Amino acid sequence: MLNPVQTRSIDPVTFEVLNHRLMTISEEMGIQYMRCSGSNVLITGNDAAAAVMLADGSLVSVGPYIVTQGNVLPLIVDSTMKSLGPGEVIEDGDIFICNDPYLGAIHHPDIATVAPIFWKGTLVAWVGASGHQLDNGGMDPGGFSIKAVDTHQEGLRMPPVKIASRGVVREDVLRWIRNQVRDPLVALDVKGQIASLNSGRRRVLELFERWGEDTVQAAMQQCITHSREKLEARLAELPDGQWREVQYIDHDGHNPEIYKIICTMTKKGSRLEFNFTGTSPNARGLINCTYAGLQAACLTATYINLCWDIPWNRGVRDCMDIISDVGTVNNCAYPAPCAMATISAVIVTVDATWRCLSQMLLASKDYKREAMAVWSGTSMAPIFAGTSQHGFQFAATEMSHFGGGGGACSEHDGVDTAGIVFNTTPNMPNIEDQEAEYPVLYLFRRHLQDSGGPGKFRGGRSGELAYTIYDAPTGQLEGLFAGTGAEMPNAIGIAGGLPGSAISIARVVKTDIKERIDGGKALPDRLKTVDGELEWLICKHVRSPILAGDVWYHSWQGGGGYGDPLLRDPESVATDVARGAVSHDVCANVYGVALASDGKADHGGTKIKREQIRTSRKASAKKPAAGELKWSYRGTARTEIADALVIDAGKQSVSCGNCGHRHCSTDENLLDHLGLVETHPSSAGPVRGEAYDRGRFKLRHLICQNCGGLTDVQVGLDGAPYSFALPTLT
Amino acid sequence: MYTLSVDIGGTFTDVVVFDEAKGRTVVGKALTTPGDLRKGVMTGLEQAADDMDMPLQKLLGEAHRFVHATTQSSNAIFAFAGAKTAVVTTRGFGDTLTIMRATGRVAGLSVFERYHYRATEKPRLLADERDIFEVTERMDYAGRGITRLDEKEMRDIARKIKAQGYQAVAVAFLFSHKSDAHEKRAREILREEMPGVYVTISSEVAPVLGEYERSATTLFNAYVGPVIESYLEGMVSTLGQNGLKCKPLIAQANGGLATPAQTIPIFTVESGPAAGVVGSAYLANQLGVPNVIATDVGGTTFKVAIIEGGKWTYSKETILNQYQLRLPMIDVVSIGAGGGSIAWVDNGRLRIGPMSASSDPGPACYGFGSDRPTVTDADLVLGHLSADKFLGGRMKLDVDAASAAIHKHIAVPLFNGDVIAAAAGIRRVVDSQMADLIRKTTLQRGHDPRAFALMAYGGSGPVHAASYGADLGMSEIIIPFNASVHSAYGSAQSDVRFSLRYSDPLTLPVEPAKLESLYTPMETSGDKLLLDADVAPADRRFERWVEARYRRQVHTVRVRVPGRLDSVARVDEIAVAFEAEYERLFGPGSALKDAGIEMVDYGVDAIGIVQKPSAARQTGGSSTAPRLRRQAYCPVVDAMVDTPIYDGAGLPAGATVSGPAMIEHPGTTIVLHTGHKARIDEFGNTRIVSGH
Repeated sequence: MLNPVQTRSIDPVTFEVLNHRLMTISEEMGIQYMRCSGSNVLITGNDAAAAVMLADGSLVSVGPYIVTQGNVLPLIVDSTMKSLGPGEVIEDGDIFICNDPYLGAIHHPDIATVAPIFWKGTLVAWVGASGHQLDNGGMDPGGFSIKAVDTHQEGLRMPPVKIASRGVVREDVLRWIRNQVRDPLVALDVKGQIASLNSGRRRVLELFERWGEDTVQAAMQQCITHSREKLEARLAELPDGQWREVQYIDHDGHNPEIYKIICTMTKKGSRLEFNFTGTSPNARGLINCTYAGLQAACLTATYINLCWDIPWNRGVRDCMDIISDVGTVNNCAYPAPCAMATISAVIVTVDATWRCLSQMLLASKDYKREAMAVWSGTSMAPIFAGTSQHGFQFAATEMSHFGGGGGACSEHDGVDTAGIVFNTTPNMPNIEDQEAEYPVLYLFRRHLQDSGGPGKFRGGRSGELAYTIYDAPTGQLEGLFAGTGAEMPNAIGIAGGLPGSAISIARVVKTDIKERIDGGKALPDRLKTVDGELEWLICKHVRSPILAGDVWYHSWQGGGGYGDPLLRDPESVATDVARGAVSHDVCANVYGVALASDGKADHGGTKIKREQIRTSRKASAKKPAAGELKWSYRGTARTEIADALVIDAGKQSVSCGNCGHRHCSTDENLLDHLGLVETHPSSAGPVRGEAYDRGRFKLRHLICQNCGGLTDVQVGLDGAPYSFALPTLT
Repeated sequence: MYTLSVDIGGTFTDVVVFDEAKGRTVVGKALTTPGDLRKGVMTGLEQAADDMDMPLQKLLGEAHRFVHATTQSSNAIFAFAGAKTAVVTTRGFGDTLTIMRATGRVAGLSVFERYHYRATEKPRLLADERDIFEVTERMDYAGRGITRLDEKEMRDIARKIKAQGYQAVAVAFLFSHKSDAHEKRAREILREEMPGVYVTISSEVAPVLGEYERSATTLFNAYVGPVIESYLEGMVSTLGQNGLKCKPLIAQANGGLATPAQTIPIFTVESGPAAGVVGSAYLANQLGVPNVIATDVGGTTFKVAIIEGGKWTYSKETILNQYQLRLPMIDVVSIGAGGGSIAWVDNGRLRIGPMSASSDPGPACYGFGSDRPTVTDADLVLGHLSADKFLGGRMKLDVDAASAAIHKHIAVPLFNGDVIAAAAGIRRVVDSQMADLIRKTTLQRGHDPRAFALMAYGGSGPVHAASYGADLGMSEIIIPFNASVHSAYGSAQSDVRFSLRYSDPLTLPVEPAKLESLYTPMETSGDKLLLDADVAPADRRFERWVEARYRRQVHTVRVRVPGRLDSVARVDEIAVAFEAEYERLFGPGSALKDAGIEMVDYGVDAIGIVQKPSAARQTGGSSTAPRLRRQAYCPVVDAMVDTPIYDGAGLPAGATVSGPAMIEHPGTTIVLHTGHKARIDEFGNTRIVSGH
């Protein structure tokens, strides 16, 4: 044996060595878990995480993949310790399993396990893993029971239970779990978690053996302190102020009701407060989330927007306050159903907090390049189930929507099919893997034209796809759909950028597809060329048959845009048209770009077109009616907000960043001096809710009354409060 | 009788001549000439010929084997200097290569890079929507035609592609790995319409399930195809004009060799690092140390490969420019840590990388104007590099500049101005990160690093190996003879090798005849390829493998398949081997037998065993006295200590050197710490063990 280098106490070098090793351990645990999982949601979507925690459950290091999954583990540890009754003890070799959203999980399909680590008889740390399972019983297969009215209808809900006791896996508990779910492969997943926790525990113990308890504990503490101090320092550099964003969830599974999530973010010094006062009460159906989801959402948005170079752990949580009433849609009260939490209340809360954070970045000279419009604002669960060509029963989630559009940034376009925000490592399935496994045939899967939010920098594109039944032994399947954001888009732009696309779900019945397949004829490659009866489906579509020849279609959300689309470089728009990213219609009417016959931008024509659009904006502008809301600015400095506003405390003026027009003084209400143009969201491009329109949503364009330039564009429910950005001028 | 091996790397072109009659090797090292790589090759060859006192014509004329590893394909890819490429896909799926399964935004990035969402983007696309053409055709999952190829449409597309001046075309249809009929017909039409344009089809380049990876592999093959073809033609003709009579063999990413005509262009990518692994495996077998972790520390990357039982393993996926490819490629894992990695302070933390100083301005000690401290600067300050021996003495390193950079950026903020402590800290952190990568890589593959010996090569490998090896508790460290030209050495030890693949998901039990029918055509093709490469029947070997998984899992495990599946018992052996491998990888009890075992990918490696140059025994020199002594840092005692420096060429076989000490070789230095003992073996390799 070579003699390892000895160390003394905790110093920068030892810390760095241990910190890297702790990161590696959580990454290894995650990889090991994923590799032996049987869940296609988990594997295809990388919908899992693993972490190392302190003895009290504080997060020290979390592996890559789904951000939200790692955040729940401390809550699970906390519940585990609190749920112990008299005489019950946590012992070396135990592993606890839990998926109760009221005890730390985000929603039922995410099953988490946590294992205590004992060193010389004392509990010194925890490791944990969490992942999305194929099924968890309940009314509907796949984890999303559309018609549930309380959480007991949503299937298996385990409080912390010992799945392993003193090192021995409890096969009885495993059998009990298997008994509750439709898919026995869930057991394989649980075994994968156990294997990964066991190896994580071994690896952490090696650190204790090698470095001693004091050093390892000090290093773990320091991981947290480092993050906290770094985020505090960053917050101190960012402007103080208050920001508010209002976001929406459409349909609760029972009624097409709209639920508001209102985030008011206050930043003062080194602290960040997210206040959700005003958010709608619990929904009747599955769209709610518990506190676990609310906290995970706030952390996710903060990690991504402020902590790109700060380790994601407890130290970040220590910088923030979350204020919310129990009994609201993103902090629901037992026994509200919440199986769809991740892809409704949680992700929409991410969107709301995200836009507050990005607007704060935008107000800082040093950090504005980090500002991003909201990414693909929602996620979905398109589920199809039945008997496969291989003869087995399945319930599969179509995971292509994990290629959501990225939000545009202050210096560049959003990324096309970039991923879903809470996933650091996005992944979409291959069509061939889908068809080899399930009795379906895809007609197309492509980027959705015009799905990226228009702007000076365009939001990333999302996608669309359609499939039909193929080679199904029983001749039919069942389809179910749980999505959010069909009636309105959630990927809101910043600095005057427009929103990306909403989601859409359709089926075409009584088609000639079966005859075409049987006759070897060409198949349609667009929804509009499928010959049959088209029906738009609501975004919480209950289980219904998919018959031979039926075509099911869905598309998902693109990213929000950045800046007024009239400021986009005309050549970039011409390239977008040549690449099929932008239609001729949106090119002309939203970007105001005229193209020459060779497809290149016609600069003269563009100038005229853009002037026409500005004139027509001004002509249709009215006074914003924002109630009591007052947009005025305090502070002592000059702040530029993108190309939209210049706010100068010295000159006591708020002016247009585009034309220089002085709107008003800093202490007047800016809203009284801007024009409001209200249109249906589909004025930003197709698939902005027009197929689901109930006349409830408007795109609120706040414009400069002089040049017609966009100051801010919001998606607003009639009567809902305005979002705002009120940085202190520092 | 000579074997000549030429390896072109980023900076140097290495030549190794094995003179079998005299039992010696001669090394040539020239600067790589990116404009025309042939120049560097010829310079290196001339150097070697000069050393052997013979004209180049004679050396080439008497070579019975000439093997060549080139970076030409990597150069074309990373410099975006490939062909203007069009892609033809199945109608409805033209966006496969721009969607990139969404993973394209982050593929190949570290966890830290993935955290920074705003800074991630998809790579510069080799083909975007304007270059991608959809044609009407469709196969189902079993390779049954649903919609026939629309030949008229295909012909119109071919004419359009021709009119737009494309230099290469990639054809990638859905399920073409199950039935290549449509792709082949499309190729015929393309060739009729545009003779001379490079056309490649996915069913030939990557006949495996998964359209994105298959299409990306085909796209890359088209992109580098014309470049590699003309490069190889030029190289063969230049070598021929200079007297080479034998057929040159080209190193491939699978660690094998193929003739230029048989070379699938993209298969040459990263063939240099692959050859290094082959060299390590060869050495491992020769030394009777079958389990080896091969490590290569260069200027910007640290590479790790595992050799178990004398054999390397293959990777399932290769990432190039964030595209995911399916290539037959040796499994080499790499992180951005090397001599050029920059040290910086982050809120009281000492961080190394991921930023790296490229060669210009390079580390502070290069004296090209950078004041950012790097790992190489720390090595120099700690006395682990000789300022006057860098690049064979061609470049003098500036110790003061290195020291000043470390003082300003690291020592003052973190170490009370102590430059040595700061430099030692930099080394410690980077060594520990390398150890973490080795540990992660080995554990992920179901191995315990302590059961392995460590092999280290590349310019900085021998400098750091004693530290990261000690961290892992490994039994022995082996520094190969000629560690700085290890890839050229490895190419010469390679066999001819063709990796054939096929996908067809099947759940066990399967009729032996059915399974045999999947392997037989691959072996027949392989046999033909070996024949074309002039491999005699007696020297042909076939190794079968299968990648299997438990039903409905995504990740597969590769196991060997016994030849000739002529009974149920032999098929059962596959299940037994799979379950054993699965439990080895994921731990006892992780197998879920009731799920059933599904076989997904099948492969045959057709191998042509070639006669390798026998490793020359080295007598070495006769001097066991140090060249000089100087102060150098030893981490065991945490101080600068008086350290002897030996000239590697002077040490005779059997000599032992005790740490702290350093042994200098051209291009690298072996660093020994207190307690380490090195022995020079009879082949000139340096073997390091703990003295305790």
